[in-house]
Amino acid sequence: MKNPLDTVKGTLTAGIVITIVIVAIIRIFA
Amino acid sequence: MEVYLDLTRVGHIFSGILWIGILYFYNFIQAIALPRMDASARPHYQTTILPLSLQVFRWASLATLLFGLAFIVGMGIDVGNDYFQSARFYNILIGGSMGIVMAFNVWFIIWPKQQNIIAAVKDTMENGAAAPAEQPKWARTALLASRTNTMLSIPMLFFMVAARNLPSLWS
Repeated sequence: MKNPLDTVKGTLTAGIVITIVIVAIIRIFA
Repeated sequence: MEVYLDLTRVGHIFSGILWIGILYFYNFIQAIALPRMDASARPHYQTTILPLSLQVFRWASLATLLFGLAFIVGMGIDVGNDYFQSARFYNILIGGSMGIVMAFNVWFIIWPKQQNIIAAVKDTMENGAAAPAEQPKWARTALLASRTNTMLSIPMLFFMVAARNLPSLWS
């Protein structure tokens, strides 16, 4: 079974990546 | 109007902290600690702490949503059409859309699945009924929706805070 702590880290990393991608899109196109 | 905006803002922030605080508890503490809990103790947790926390969790999510919408309407009336073309509103629009998806997940995925699980655990405790075959599936679906919400909470919070603190984002 996957370590639950790794899942938490993955979830937070995904959230940070989404934030950075949206901010980058706004900075480039807006 | 100022008092109305202050009250809706404070209501939104307070219920938002309550909601996301419980979401983080579920994901950062319960998801890790519950599997480690003694199997005989788990049903007690699932029939006492879990239903109460879910109750506060889902009403806090609805309150956050309603206070937020009430605030936007108030700003629209107070500031006028300019508000809807401001960087502040664009940020709120991005964060708010994520918040709406999250509240939907709470009310229409997490809550119904957890309700099924709690009922099944109660049935096992009180009547010795066997756990239904679908129970792991309910738990998995609820967990995935909860995890999605945790992931969305990061950009959601960023854009909520950016509305007042990062106006340069759109310039």
